[in-house]
Amino acid sequence: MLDGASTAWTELSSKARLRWIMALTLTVSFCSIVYELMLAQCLSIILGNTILRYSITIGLYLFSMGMGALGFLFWNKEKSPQLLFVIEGILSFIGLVLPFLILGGDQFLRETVFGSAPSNVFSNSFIWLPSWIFVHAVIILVGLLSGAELPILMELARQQGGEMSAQRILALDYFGTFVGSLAFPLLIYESLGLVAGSALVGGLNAIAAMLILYLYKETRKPLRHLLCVGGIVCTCVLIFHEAALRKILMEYVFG
Amino acid sequence: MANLTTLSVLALFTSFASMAYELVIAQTLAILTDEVIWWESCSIGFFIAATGLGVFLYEHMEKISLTDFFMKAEILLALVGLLALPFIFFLHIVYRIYIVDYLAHGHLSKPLNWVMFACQAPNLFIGVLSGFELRVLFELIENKTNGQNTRSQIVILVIYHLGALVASLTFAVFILKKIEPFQLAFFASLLNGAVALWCLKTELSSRFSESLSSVQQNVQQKPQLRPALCQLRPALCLLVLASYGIVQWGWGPLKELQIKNFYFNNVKATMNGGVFEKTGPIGLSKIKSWADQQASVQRHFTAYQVVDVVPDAKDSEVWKLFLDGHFQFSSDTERFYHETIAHVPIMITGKVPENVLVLGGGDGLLARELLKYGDRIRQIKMVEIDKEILELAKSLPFSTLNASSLTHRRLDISIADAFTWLRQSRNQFDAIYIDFPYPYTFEGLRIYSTEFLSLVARHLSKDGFVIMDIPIFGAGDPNWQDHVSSLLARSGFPKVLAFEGGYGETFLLGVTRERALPFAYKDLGIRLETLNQKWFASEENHLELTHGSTKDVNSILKPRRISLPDVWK
Repeated sequence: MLDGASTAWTELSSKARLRWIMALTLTVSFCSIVYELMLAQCLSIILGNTILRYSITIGLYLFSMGMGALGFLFWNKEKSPQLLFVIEGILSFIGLVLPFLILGGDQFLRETVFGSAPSNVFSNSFIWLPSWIFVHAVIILVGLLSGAELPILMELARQQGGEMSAQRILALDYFGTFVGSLAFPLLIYESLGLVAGSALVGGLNAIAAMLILYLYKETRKPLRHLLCVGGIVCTCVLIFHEAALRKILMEYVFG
Repeated sequence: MANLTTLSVLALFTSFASMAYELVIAQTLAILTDEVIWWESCSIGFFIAATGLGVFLYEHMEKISLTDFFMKAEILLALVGLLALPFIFFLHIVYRIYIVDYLAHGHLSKPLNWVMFACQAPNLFIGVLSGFELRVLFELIENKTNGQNTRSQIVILVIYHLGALVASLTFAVFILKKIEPFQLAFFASLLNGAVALWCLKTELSSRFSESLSSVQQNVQQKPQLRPALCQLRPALCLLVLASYGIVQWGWGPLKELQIKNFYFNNVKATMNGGVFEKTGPIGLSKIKSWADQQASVQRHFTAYQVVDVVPDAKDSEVWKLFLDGHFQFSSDTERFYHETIAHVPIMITGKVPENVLVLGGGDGLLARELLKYGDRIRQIKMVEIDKEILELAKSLPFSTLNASSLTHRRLDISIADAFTWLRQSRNQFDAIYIDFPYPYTFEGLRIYSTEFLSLVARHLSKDGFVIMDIPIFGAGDPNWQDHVSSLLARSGFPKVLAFEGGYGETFLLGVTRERALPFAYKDLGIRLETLNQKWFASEENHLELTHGSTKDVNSILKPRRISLPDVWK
């Protein structure tokens, strides 16, 4: 069944393929900014002072995005689809587990590093440090991966429709970011919450990864199909069991 | 033509300035509207989208030369960045005078948010100009290297993004060092001005060389002098310089005007001969002379909030405390609040607690009340996030009001985020007093979440109680009371009693196990000024909250609301 479908997809015209790349761009840029805003929100949950957390996250995000875009310059352009698949896969995984990773990771680090130590000035003053480093490292990682997405998509579009298409991709990337920045406070955070919201965005990344598999024959491997399907199934589970999972996370972190 | 080092410095300056403007605009809007998440998110979205737009529009812009175009962009950026905050403050003044009352009677939710959308105009403009900057920098480096040297382009790209990071870190330092955000915008504008001056110098020297060579080639021909000088570019630079002076001089009075307008220039309703008369607010034409007659508001920036000490318009002895523009207490009526929160729970539970935890309460007024019990309360632990508010409360006029409670030997103060402190602490307390501002923003809702209250329940001893203030009675969201009941029940408080203080505030008393909570006056052996038996006799001022039926209670992982409904503001 997969083979039949994949034959049809590989026979797509350049125009149709370009349209899918544009949809891909819109999706991934939307996801990237939502991840960053979610990370800023998680930071403000852990450490307080929301304005400060958002400001630092935005600066780190823009910087690491630039570095991610730079990194692509040193990558073999012929393997762009494979790299894009890997990036989407990692981002999807981060999205699916984001609140568990950040809040659970924070609790785990606090307990592991300082939990058994006797209460002293050092442990009281620096208990936040390991998780602070960890959360900021995740922000940088997401920024780096998101930054690399854009030049890859521009390169893929260029291959289909020349420089003009690459410029369209750039425009869509900015538009996706804009939509994401409005969707997070208006729809995602209040309506879905962090657990279901990040799962939804992770699911979108998994769908994007699946689309890459269908668009580029060279990326296809059975395990990759399985991972994409697994990502989408996990998204559904996380969204439908959001309340129960939130309770588990809450009990682990806040007792 | 500029070398790589010069271009790197230009890239750093320009990206730093643009990012600094965005951060300052977002923060100012967040504070003015109480919508931190909303404005932080959408400001960065607008900014990035506008930068993309600028990158595209660049192709369609008419350019005499690259440096000339760059200079124009920098001059505009310096001006827009410099005037953005005065514009926002001016718009806020106009909103308070002409719009707030009009919109308050309509059905528009959060009217200030809609009005403040106009403040995204400078943000958009800055974004577009930043897009131009990026393209110019790349063209300059391409011209220098004839499009061959990718390494130079990479260096510029890295430094441009580094500028954004440096700006956000500088902004963080400004917040933590309590420096006014306007100073960062002013500094950023100076950087744009410096870049514009560099462009002017480059443009002039380039024009001069062109003219000179043309004169040398053909002595008969009149030199084609179309230097930047003739096109008033230096005049524009002078305009920017003059703007620095004007804005720096005018910022103080504008800020004071905005503060006074916010606190004093309201609609006043009076009864005149049986007729209800409405006066005010003072219009823009008379506001300057009106403001000069008003007493000054003492404003303090802390790392967490803006603290205003506002003198009473009628009585010079009376003053009020506002945090981020929200009323906290008035020096003449605060005892109604603090005596109620401190002593009523002890009367109801019938036992003076030995170990007490106070979360918040940095003004020292609750501590003043608790210290009245002497040695009966063995230890009072206070956790306050804001060091500056504690320092302020140790000085006049606070220290007179709180009887210097914060320096008392039995009070142990930790400067920490209450959430973090509770997660870390293993201690148990007989009473936990939560004395935070109302949850106007997410920051506030974070501490009125089921996660926070569960932590509080975990730190209570078997017969311990928690007392907190949260709006319950009155008009507004009909589901709110049910929501609060559910929130407390799910956080480990099966029995909750709500009661109204003498001045209209609502308090919630929660215990971790079912037991009787008789609402009756009891002599505690201490001097009280506002609490009496008559007040307790009323049937209407207390209510036992039954387990609510709300399924989704407020959680930091899924907030029921990012901020309180308008009705509570």
